[in-house]
Amino acid sequence: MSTDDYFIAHGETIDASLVDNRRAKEFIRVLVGPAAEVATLLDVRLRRDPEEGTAIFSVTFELKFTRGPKPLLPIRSPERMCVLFFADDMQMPWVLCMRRNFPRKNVLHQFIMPENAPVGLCLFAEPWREIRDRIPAGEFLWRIQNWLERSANGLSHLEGQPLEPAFLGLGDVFVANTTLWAEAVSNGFAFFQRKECLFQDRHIYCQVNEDTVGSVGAMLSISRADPSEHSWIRSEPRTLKELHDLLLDHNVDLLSALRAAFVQCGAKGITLDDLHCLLLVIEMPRIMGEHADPIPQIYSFSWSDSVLNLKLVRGAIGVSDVGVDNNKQGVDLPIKMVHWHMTLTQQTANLWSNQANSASSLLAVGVGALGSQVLLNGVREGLGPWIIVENDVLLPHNLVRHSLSGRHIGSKKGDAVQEEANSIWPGAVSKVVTEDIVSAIEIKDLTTLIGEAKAIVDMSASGEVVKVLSHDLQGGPRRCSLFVTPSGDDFVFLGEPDGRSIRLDQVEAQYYAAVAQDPRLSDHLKAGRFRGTCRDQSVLLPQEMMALHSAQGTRRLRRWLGESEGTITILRSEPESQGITDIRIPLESWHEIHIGDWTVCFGENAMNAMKVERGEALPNETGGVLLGSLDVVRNKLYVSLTLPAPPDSIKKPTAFIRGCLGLQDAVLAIEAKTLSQVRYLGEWHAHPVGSSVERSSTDLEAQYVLAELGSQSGLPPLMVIVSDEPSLGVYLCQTD
Amino acid sequence: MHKLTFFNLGNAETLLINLNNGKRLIFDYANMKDPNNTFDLRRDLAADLLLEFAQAKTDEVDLLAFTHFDTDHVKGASEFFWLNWAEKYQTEGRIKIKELWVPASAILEVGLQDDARAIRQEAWHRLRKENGNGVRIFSAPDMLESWFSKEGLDIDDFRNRGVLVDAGTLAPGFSLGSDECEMFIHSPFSSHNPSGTLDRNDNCLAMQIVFAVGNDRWKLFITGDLPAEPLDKVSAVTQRKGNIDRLQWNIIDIPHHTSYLSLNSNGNKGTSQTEPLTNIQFLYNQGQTGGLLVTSSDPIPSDDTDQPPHRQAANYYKYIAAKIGGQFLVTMEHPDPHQPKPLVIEIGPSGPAVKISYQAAVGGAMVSQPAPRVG
Repeated sequence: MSTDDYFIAHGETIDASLVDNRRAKEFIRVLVGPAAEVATLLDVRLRRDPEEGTAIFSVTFELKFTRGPKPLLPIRSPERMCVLFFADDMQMPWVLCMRRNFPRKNVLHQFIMPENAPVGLCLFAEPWREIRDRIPAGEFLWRIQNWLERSANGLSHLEGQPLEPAFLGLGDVFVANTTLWAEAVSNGFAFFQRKECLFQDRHIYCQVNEDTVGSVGAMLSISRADPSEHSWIRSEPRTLKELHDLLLDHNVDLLSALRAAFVQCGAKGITLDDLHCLLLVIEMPRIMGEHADPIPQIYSFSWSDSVLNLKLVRGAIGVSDVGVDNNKQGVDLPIKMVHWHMTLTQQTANLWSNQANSASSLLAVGVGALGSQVLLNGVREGLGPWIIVENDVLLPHNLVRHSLSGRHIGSKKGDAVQEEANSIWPGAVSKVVTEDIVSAIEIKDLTTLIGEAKAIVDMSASGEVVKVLSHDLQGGPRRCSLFVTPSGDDFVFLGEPDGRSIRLDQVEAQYYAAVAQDPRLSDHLKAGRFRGTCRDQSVLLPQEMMALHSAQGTRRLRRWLGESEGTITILRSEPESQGITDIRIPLESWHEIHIGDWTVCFGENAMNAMKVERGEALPNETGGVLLGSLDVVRNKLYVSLTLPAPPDSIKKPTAFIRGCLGLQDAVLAIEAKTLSQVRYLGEWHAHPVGSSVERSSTDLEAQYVLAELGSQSGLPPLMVIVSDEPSLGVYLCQTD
Repeated sequence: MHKLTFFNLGNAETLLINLNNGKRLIFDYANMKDPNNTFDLRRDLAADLLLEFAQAKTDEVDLLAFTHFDTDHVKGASEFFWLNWAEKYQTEGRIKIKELWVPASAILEVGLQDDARAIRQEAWHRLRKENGNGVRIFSAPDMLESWFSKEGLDIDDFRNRGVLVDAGTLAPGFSLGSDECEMFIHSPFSSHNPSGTLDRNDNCLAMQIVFAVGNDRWKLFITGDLPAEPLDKVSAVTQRKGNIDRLQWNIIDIPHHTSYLSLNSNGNKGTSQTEPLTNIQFLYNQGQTGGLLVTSSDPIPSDDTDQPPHRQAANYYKYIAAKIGGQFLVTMEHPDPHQPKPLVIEIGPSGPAVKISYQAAVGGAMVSQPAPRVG
């Protein structure tokens, strides 16, 4: 190639030793030293910045890189490159390809340069000022080499990297919502009201609100281009004709579309005096790779507010009150690029949160401190849509931990959360029921919606709600319950498995049994400073802890929704290390036995424990006490724990007398650890090998005594007999 | 991306192929470096390969192929690889061989010593004791049939199971579908071997390896130390069979360290450039645009020498390289005769290209190799 085939850097050639710019000096040192194998220094020049008079050094060199015989783009090895170093190191050195016929089209990651200037390389995704302190000269050279190599091999755009825009330019900003977009797509144009503010010399335009779609004030005209290959960035078109010509390549006749829009205005009796703004929107889907789906990209251009300007536009493209003149092409009619932003949708919320599509209806029971934050976290990630059941109002003390702000004080929490959620993406909360859950489940419409939901999420901090969701609400999807313990240290997630083979009340009973037994949970339900009930609805807790728990809550909820298994998960915030300890309790299966109007649920662990005790004691009989949870409203007992025979018990082949040494202390300790959620439920004893689980005459006498004792508390004690198969006899000790 | 590494070992050869699917193939192993000579510019092959396997977190090579058993193709192999046939080769840190390829001559040759013997014993062991698992023998001359018979092994059974592979066929175990790589065997021929002794070089393993990258196919021709006459025959037979595409190459591993005897017969070195035999000329004319001619040899001398590399042969290869817009690359000259480094060729979307990367300032380069000795 002759020298005419290359651009020549500006300035006077100087000896490299005269360079006093630190970065340029170091770059030259690398070029002629350690990188001599791959680079050849050709020329160093100096010129002065015309405005500031500071020195600009240009270093021209040839650079080799790895390139096979069949490059995707005609990039050569070596290529002639030039780096311009500026006096101000905050300005990134410019890297230029000096070959005049260096490919421009289809070369990604280049700066916008005029046609008669060298191609400029965009080497870094990050702003130079953020990375300049960690880019030594050698790495800078390597970046150039890597850019050439990747571009030649068609690998410059990384998988998952956002596509480059078709145009780049500074401009105003317009934010539209999906309703306006849908209207414009349907008709080719739409009218709306707008509001605006000025920020750093840029106009930020927003639709006033969704309701203004259709009311005249501003007009949006939309054109849709055929999908085109992901390609290099072009500078923004400066005139309407330039944009029109460019779009012709993409099957868009912009001038005709614009003329039609003006004509439509006239037909609707809308004069330009009614309009403040005209916005041209071009949808240009782009494709990256042969089989990829088109990715929408939207560009918009506008004229400023003056009515006069709009009249000029109309005239320039040949629209008048008497007709249309297609010969008028709008040549030299300047246009201004407007950066287009669409309000969030559920899909874009997913996309920007880097979360998988999670469109599935969820019913939230309770949007208090935890619930509102879990829900709004989820909404921001595109999780939902939600139905809210909540009957509380926002009071000042709620602001400490609630996601709502002071402007909502006195509002119904459900409605206010809906407003917030739907301002993130429309339809995020589809319905609010301002009732307690007991009343809510009787609402017919809600029952239908529940049937279509993927899950019911209890965040009410109420044990009663668990019972209602487990028993009183028939059918519907699987349930889970999220709450924070009184100390505020632990977050609890209880979830049913798919198919509800274990119900939420049983999951909860097992959770309390774990609290009673598992040494990791010995202080799990320790009381807060002033309050002490589990799931205390008004614990004294800083928002930083609630934010932590609600973040965990959303994460855990999302995970549970994606799994078929049920779960008991306790996430403990360690006060010292501030780390999170994940405690999982494997779910056990449950068996139900109906006795009269009572239902007795046995956890698998408790049943197995009795069998093991019996086996170890044979040929003697043995026994112990039954512990668990209860629901006297719904006549349910949950046997989740057993205690073995105390040491003073008498065990014989034909008799068993349960002792009491240390038993009371043990039961009291469990009650204390579980805030009385786990308590004494009755007695069990074993029968010898070959015996049935039928009550002996002695057992009948014992049952009578237990019934008498039980009648004092109003809770009938259980008597369970364990023997060979069938292994369990269950009897309720009632005086009648 | 597939990657080929030709190590700078003087007049000796080792080629490591990293397939895109993660498999590692080694063709010949010759660790020639003299550890006591600070000025020896040859690579410490064992150190390089141990690092390669350590970084890949594996202690097994998918394929170890020996083109023949000359010292400059086998030196140090018994110290580096885990050999199943004797406990003394089973110490910690050795690299296990998933599949071993040797030419038939290696099985039949007697009087072998040291590394060659150890590898031969390994091939014997895999045939005798492991029912041919993990070994392939290339060509089956009459003498090999006698050996199988003597060992009480059913040669037809081994042939049917692909343990014996003939020239003119694809080597089993690798395919474009599963490995983006296939190997067409050119040599040795069974018919080469009339009864009597088998010359190592005449009967060395040669093949065309085809690499797939997307819809493109890129070809490497491996020639071992084939002298002119058998190489000419490879070309002639392949032409006769109508398989000219099997002679095409984008990279050719030049035979016998740029010896003129791999281009023409004894005494026909030429004054400034060796004139190759007709069918060898045909083979080199099958070089594709931008083709790379790689010789594992010492720097090309400017004077006449008895031992390879021969400048006249090098001139012929340079002529071919110029003709196809390619490069003639000498392992002990790359990138600089005073500081040679392993020659890496990447086969990426644009085809085979010598890896050129300036990495001095990038931390990765510092930690991808052992630190200099301190003390």
